[in-house]
Amino acid sequence: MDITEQISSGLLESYVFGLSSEEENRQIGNLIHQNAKIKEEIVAIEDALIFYASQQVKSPPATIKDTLISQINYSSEKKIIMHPASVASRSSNSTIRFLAAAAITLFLISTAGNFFLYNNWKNAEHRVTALNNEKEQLAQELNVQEAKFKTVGNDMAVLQSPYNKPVMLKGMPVAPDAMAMVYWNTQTHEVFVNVHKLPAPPAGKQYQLWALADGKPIDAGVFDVTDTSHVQKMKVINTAQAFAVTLENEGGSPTPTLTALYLMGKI
Amino acid sequence: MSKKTQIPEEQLVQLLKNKDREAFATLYDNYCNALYGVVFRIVNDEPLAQDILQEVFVKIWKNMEFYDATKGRLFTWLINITRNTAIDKYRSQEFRQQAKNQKLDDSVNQVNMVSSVNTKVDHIGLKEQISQLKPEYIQMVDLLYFQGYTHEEVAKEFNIPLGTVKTRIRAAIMQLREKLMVS
Repeated sequence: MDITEQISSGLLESYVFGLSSEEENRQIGNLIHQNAKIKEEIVAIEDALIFYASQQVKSPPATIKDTLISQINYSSEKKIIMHPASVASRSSNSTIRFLAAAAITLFLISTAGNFFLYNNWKNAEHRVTALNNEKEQLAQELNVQEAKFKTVGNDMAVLQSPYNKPVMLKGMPVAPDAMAMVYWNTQTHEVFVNVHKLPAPPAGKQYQLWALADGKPIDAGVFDVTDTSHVQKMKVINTAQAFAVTLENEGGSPTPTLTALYLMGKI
Repeated sequence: MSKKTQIPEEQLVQLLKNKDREAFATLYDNYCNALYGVVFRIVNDEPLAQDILQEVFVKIWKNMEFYDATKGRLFTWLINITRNTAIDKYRSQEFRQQAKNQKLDDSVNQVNMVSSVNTKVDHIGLKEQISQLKPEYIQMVDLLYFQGYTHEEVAKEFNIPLGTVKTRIRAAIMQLREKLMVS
């Protein structure tokens, strides 16, 4: 068959209609490349049918387009997962990846920062607590020292006062090594005692100071021997020629027990 | 028809091969009416025709890479997909034999019906020009091109030899081409 015969046989119409056999399709495929007239003829047949089809139009409902667009969006998304080949999807993927990486990095930095700051804050809090404790200890110590200083100051005042007459009490045969000082203020008549050495009293017993005025013992109060470094204030004594210390029952006695005379000193 | 996007066919095809969604929207706008017309001619049932039209466009989208411009126009490829899909669907619904008989009974009115489907005519007097064509020739084109008949089936229906079907089809196309040239 030559070309004109091919054309007039209606084979090309069959081809355009999609009704030609595979053998015929191959044949025509070759002819298209070899002969421009065949190609022109096919285009003319197509145009005629397009023209005819354009007279058969019918408008589908508008909703179909929306359904289709969402359908192909879904199907192309699935495709991206399977073949991440399209340039557009790759660039949007890499943007998402970049943003995700940036977000994760920022999150990690923020977490590390928070951890660092939290630790700093904890340390600072610990240090503040420690400093507060130390401050309280120091304050307490200061109070103690102040109290001590005050006592020492009082002691000093007693010792330095020109009106305080020192009287040395010496050990009697019961305790020959014993020793104490009594300071008697000639103006205010106050009496202070400062123990230097006295044996510790047995349980239930206390030392008592006596003033001897005109041969009579006058109670000047009981005192402790635990604190030998301090001067202890006693009762006011108006007249005395000597002072003596006896060991009495706790709380003192109205009259001295002369068998337990420990110290004695004349003014 | 009213707002067809004017874009060269080659460019549109290239964009579609690259899975461009806007190009797909353009393709739909440009061809949905013609393809819906074809589907409706085959199944003659609107809800079914709409389902098929959707399936057709999804097939077009998925198979765009297989379209070969050297073998024919885009429209020819589109209409072949449309027709084959519609016929497959139609056959699966087992309507075919029944409907075919029905349509052949109405064959006298076929050309008029064809014209009446068309509500918007691009060229003045085109309706008249088509109705001037030989009715049975045009009917053969309809059966082959739009309704998926084989040449053998048409030959049997019209009780004419197979070769005659082919030459009459050619004559009908030639007439259409003349009308196209005139308009």
